[in-house]
Amino acid sequence: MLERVAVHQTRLRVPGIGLDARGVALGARGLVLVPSIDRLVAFLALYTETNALGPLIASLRIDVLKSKLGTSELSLSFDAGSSDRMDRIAEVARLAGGFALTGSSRHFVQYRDAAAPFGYDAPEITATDAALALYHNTFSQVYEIEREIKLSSLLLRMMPYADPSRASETGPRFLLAEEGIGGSILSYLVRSHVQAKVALCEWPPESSFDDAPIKRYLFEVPELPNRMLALFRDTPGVRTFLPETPGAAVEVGFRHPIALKACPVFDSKKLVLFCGAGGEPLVIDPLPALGDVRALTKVSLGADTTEPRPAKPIQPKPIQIAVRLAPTLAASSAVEATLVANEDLELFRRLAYALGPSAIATTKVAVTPMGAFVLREGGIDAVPVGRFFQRIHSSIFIPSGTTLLPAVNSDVLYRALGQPQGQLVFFMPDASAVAVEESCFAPLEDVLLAGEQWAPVSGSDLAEALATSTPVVWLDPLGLRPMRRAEPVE
Amino acid sequence: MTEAAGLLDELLDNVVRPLLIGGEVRPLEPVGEALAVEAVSGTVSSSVAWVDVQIARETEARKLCAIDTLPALSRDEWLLLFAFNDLLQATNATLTGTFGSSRPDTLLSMARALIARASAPATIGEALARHATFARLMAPERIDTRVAWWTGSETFRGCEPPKRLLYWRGLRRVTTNEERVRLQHMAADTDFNDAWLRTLNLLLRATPLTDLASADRAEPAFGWTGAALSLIRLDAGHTLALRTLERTGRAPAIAAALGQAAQDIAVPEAVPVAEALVHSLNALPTVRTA
Repeated sequence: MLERVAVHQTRLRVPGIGLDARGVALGARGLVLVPSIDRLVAFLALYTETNALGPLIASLRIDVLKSKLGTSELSLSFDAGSSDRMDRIAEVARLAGGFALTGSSRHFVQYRDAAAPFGYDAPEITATDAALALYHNTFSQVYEIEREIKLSSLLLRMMPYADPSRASETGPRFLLAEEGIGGSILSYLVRSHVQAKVALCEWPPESSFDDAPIKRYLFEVPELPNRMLALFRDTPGVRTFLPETPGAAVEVGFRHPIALKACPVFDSKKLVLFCGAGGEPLVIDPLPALGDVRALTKVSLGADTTEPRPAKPIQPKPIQIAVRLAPTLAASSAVEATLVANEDLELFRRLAYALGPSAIATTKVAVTPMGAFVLREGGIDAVPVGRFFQRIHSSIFIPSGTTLLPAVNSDVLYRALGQPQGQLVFFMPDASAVAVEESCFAPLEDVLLAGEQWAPVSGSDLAEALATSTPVVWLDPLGLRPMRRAEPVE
Repeated sequence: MTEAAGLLDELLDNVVRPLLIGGEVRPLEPVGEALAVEAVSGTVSSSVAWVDVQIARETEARKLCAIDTLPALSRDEWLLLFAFNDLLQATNATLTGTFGSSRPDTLLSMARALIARASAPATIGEALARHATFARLMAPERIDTRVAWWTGSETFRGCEPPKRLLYWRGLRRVTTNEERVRLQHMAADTDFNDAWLRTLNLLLRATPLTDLASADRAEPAFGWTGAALSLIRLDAGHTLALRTLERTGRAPAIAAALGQAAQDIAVPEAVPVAEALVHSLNALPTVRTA
């Protein structure tokens, strides 16, 4: 019968046991005692479901114990670390039907539980040379270590169980194909443009009757399309594996009892393929070099020819069709121009009196023999007269309510028109086109007003006029010989 | 130093400058043909008067068209100016003297000879320059003073009456009456009036724009000349003449005179040219009054 450690108790009898900072009796190592291998597996499965074995893996040891009564049990010992870690392990151990104990090297005492929050202490220490002396409320027993079980070998011996929910998981895949079907799968992946790498793996013959090693193709597919999942799952000779952790993969549709990703025991330079349905795990050691499947596709050469026959260029027959305009019920957009016929110009003139300042300022007019082309950016709705045109290109207009046939891009039409620079091309309803030079379009406000008759009034500079005096002729006396120097030319 | 030297400066100061910008026009002593022809080969040294004349000429020209500068007075213009000097001097009462009744005719004949030496303007630019010089040709006036006393009277043309005639005004009942006589009437009461008007007419014809601009004058009557017709036959000349006439402010009267004169044109082909100017002149918009 064990004693419960009391609060503030400082001395314990079990060697190697002390009190941690919380007052819990704790040794350097922890130990989980389970009666059978299935309990051990259950413990590992439960623990790895929520915890990683990484912190324990360096000190983890699995032993088969044999008592003096001849019973065999299994122990899983590890560095205790702290009472927190031990608490989690103890909970999982109780759930798996095992006992959690703590100690140092030989003597282990029951770890704390609900009845003894600070742990237990043994009132009497068994003097023994056995490898382990375990003290529990229900028993005190000494054990010898019969043999050790490696965790990795334990994991390999575990059989994956069926789990259909994993069949539809997406992500990377390993495909293991028998030699006979490998080439076909390789071609299939290449044809389907599925990125994949491939390696050819060899295993020793399964029996002495086989004289050649077993060869299988291993494909590593980073992203296997969903449509291929069922194909490879149901195709005989092909097995699909879902990577669990670097170095280990489980066959699709199966799940390993232990979460492998929590067990850092696999080498990334190897690959362990856990096969479902009772199959032995396949170990590929070392993992061979994987090559791109596209490098291994078969190349077929044609008949040997002396020299290539050049193809003769053939002038393609021009397929040119005329542009047509077809009526359409679609709402016209960008109606920015109108053609006011000559007979409607008087109406347009009268309409000009009703136009607003902004409409007059933004409207441009080009007067042609066909009539007046009125242009307004943003919509010609202010001028409700004439034949309306919608702009389909910066330089091309088609009648409103029509569409262009063939339905080519307006840039193509612009090129077909010869890319006229500085011209605006207007398609008439009969598909004929006229071009008006952009420079002919003058602002409406500039051409709107007729030349108002005005009379010039000559203004004279009054100051200048007043300052200018009238020349006054003064005739001075000429003397006795007034004509003394006035002589005709001889 | 000959007598011709400095004659241009004298003419510039006493006649040309006051003619253009106003003031007292004091004609030089009769120059005659020979001396004028000799003088026009000289140069002007009076810079102040010259600048005034140039500014006045360019101002007059810029009223009609946009030009920057005008060329200096040409030889022909100097000849015409000398002719104008002698034309004015022909009306000087002291020219005749006791035995010199024929002197005005002699002087006028030499003035006509000078005008004849000046050819018609060869280009529109010359016509414009000549008009810029003679635009105010018809503007000079002469102040005639009529002095009457108890025993007689006398008219002094363009000069002050002697002071002796004005003494004892009350006792001698002296009265004076000044009359401003326009150019075309300066020789009205002389025997050589016809010759004088003929000379004035020739002087006007030598500058076509000025001639057209004064076409509504009563005397000497306007008549179409080859120079005027040649000028308005060109579009630019037509426009220039139209502007000149429009700026006179007497366009209707001038148009009537030009139309009347067009009937006397001897060359039928020239008639449409003259009528076109008349038509354009009549088509000038008139100022409408409310």
